[in-house]
Amino acid sequence: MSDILSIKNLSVVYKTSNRETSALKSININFRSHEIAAIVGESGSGKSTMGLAIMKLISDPGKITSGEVIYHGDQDIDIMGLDAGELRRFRWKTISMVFQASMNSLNPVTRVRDQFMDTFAAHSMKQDDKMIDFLLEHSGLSNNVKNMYPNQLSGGMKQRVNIALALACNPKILIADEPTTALDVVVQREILEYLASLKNKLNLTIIFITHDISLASMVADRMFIFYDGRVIESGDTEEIINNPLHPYTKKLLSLIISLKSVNNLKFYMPDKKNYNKSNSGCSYYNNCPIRSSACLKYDYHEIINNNHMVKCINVDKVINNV
Amino acid sequence: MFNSNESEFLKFSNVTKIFKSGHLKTYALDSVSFSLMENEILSVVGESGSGKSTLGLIAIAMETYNSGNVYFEGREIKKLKRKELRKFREKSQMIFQDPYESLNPFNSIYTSVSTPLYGFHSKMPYDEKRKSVIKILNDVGLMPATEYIDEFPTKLSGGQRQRASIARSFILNPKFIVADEPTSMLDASSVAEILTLLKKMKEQYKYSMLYISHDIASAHYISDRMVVMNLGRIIESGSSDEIVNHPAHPYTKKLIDSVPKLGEKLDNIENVNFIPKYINGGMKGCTYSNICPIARDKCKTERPELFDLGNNHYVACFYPLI
Repeated sequence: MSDILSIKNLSVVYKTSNRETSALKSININFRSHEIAAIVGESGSGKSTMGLAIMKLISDPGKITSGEVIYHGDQDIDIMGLDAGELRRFRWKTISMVFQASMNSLNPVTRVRDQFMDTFAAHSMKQDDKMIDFLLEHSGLSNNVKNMYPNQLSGGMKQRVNIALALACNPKILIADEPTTALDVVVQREILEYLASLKNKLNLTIIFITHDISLASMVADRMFIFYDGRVIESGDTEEIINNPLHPYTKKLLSLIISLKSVNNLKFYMPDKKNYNKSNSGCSYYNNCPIRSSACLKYDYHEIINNNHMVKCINVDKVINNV
Repeated sequence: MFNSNESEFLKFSNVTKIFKSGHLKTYALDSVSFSLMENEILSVVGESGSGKSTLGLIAIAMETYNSGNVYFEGREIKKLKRKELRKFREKSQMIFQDPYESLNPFNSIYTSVSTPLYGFHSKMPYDEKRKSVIKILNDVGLMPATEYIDEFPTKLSGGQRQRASIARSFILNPKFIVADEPTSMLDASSVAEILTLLKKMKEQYKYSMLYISHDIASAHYISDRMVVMNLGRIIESGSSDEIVNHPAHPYTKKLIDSVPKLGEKLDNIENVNFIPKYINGGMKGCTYSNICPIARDKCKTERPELFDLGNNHYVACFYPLI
């Protein structure tokens, strides 16, 4: 599989009058074509910021301070170098996005059909009812839905309409930012199945952003674990869930609430939110059970095998303990 | 289960709640009967739209009902006099879903958490109020409390905000708690934090709780007993272990199958179909009959009543799975 999108040394900073927060600290990711890649992390880890940065949608007070995002199409395009007009033609046709809490992002006073028409018009496509029927059918909705208002739809149906809208211009890459967060478990599964089916039907690359590692493991081919603006572990899904190496990934995996884990969940104190603020060294230092003084000295990462990357200087300790 | 009992704390008997909009009637609760024992955690599980939140609001006397009766410690809630209602309010508290909205961003943690004290113990001197706030913050794991007490909610993470919100619910030492999806807006790692906290608090504060959730896995973790709701009706009830291990209603089975499992592969991605399920309840037959895989003619015309399968396991289904 060839790469379709490469992120190189991307950094994003949110600046307010009295302080600066770096949301992304020089991350490098290569997304392959025709894969589902999951971005997993807690709130504040920078996962949504990365989604927005790929589309060059970061707005004040955020700023992309360095790095490039390269789309490998017929020719390589650096998205960060596009001007407003080029971006307008690029977004939605090449990369589109389902935003966080997008169930509430449909316009409540226009019918679903008109929202599709607006999208077509904005991207100078033919305004065609047949295309709407096709998109709705693909998302498993009946075509009566196009004459309805958003308040007549359930949460799951609204999310399907949103995904159909994101697919309106036949993009190559779909970024789904927490597409199931406000939905109940039954509908959540429906949406997951739908997203997974799109990969094969439309030959799509999907970037799936979520905080729930068990959800990610169900659909993703590869996983990227985010912590404090860095990718601290990445690799094939099976490798990560069977052989996690970073202490933070291990913690995430131990906190899954499933029907079987009932008795081994322990009372657990919250992590301190004070990340290691210095620019070098590991962000997880303050909460890490296996920290050592070497952790603070320099940024370290190690590639265990071809696909498995981990940022932990004590990785030998982890391997030996297991 | 429906016989009156001395340790019965809260009792619903044939409660019906109808929301009217024009000539459209929505049955949020359709003759619901159950009881909550003293020192028990009972969870109410169901999809969105099943009426579980309405049930919680009625239990805490924030919503009226059309017919039936609700008894709190043997007395009918509807007939409480003003002073008695105030006593009831002191004894019963609610934990809300979204800690980002339930804490006023302009108030410090002290102000938010101590508000109930100002309402019910206005003569208590300031020092004592502060002391009890510090004590409760320590109890919910915001330690050391002196570091958090004068902070504003914006400085706290989602899990910490929910802890603060729980502290506010517990400051009057309530006997009855309604927790309406207290974990659904939180990160996967904070969910485990909050659940273990609620379980720990029960040993210390001795309360009865209605835990309302769509996630049967977390409900199983926290509760002794469970009722499952579908479109305003209770369709199954019994001990949590019994229901999770031997679900008798096809709908309960579907809820259990929908829980995300680590590393599980989705099987049904080739034919994802739209299932029309929006019905207003109040129908003649079983509420689940139009999508039930094992429904027969009888299910559509006759209402199944709850019956005992043994071991206090009740199900409302003509063709139970066990």
